[in-house]
Amino acid sequence: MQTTAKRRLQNMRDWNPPYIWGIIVLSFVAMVAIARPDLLDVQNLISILQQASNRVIMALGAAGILLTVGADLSLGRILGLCMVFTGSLVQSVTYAGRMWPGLPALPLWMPLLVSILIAMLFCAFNGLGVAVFKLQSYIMTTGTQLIAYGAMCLYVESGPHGAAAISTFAPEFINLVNGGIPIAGEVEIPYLLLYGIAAALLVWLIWTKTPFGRNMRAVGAGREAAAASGIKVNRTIMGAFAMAGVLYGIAGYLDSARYAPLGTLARPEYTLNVLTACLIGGMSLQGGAGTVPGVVMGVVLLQFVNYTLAFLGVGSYYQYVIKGLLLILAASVDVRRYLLRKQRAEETEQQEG
Amino acid sequence: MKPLKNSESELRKKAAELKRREAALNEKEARLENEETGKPRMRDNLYARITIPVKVLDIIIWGVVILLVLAVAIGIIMGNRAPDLQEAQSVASLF
Repeated sequence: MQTTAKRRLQNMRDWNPPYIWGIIVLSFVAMVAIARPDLLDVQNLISILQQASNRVIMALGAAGILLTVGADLSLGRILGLCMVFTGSLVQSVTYAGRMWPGLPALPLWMPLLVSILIAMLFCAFNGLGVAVFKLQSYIMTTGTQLIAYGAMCLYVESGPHGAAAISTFAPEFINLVNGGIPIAGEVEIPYLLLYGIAAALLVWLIWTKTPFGRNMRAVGAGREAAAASGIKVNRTIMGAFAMAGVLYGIAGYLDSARYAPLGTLARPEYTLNVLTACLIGGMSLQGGAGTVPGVVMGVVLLQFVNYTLAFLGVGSYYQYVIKGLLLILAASVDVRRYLLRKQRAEETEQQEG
Repeated sequence: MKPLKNSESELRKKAAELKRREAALNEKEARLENEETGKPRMRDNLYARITIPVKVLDIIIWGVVILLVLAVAIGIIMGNRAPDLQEAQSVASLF
């Protein structure tokens, strides 16, 4: 018992996420809740979880890449591209300003498939650059995000109405994303929350119960060591990117219903939001560290912060400043963990020899 | 060779141990190379070139924390009014 308490204290002293982040964020939220108790209303809490759910799906994709090779900076633009493609394929057939006027009403799985294929194509390109050509993931994914952005602009402008915003979606699609299961009175469990939980469970199973998941962690901890122990490094990296592609595709599909009208400005800010959430959740920019519950917790905590700031009336420009500082803080804590580990390794080495 | 079949906790321990050894080896190698060439060496590890002491980094971290608290405080003071629930919900969804 005492050992556990000591370990927890040590974790806090070492700024180990998600311990320290949990304490910081929850005390912040507690302060706000005392000042304005209506923040902790059931409907509000469900709303926060609903908003976090889709981010959990995309963050799990990015976390897989972070675990294996490093940060993916193309996430936001790939997601934006998936959103505009999905949006253009699910517009209501009765809407006069449709992007593709002659297109019949498609079954809802078809735009999902298109969205996943597009995301997988870009992720496979990223994976090829990182695994085969040994490019740094930061460089490769920065390049890809520009390609994805260009492709998105070209696509949005290719319709008969020029660069008109994509809006007015089929009601069944809106219901599939924004609907929910009523439980009591006006309170309902949003479908998005269920999708988020399902994705988290699936990714948790892959990360912890399959050889592929263990290989991802081993590759992230050190490619040479992983290769020496018989792991097919390139295949593992490509697999991590492919898994991210599937999750980005699903997230883009779901997000298009929530943020219409869609245009060329679709969601570039997701990249750094997701990166911050992953770092808060205990992932490392070096790779090889992190868990699915940590990522989920990071996303939910960050969404709590967003919500609380909006609740307090903090202006959007200030929110950008705060988010930037949070990212720097999360990265600094990650570096601190590395330095501490190195320092302890050196101390052990000195003691041993 | 077959892929790893260890349990997750075992693998994590091994990965942490490997990382520790890799960091120590990198440091040793770099030290030797620096002595030979007189120039610092580029390495694969993203953080390997960071050499500042933990105490200095702690000061930086606390500096960022203070800035963060200040930013939140200024943001709250400058925000001219508290929004209602629906407005807060829609603003939060944008970030």
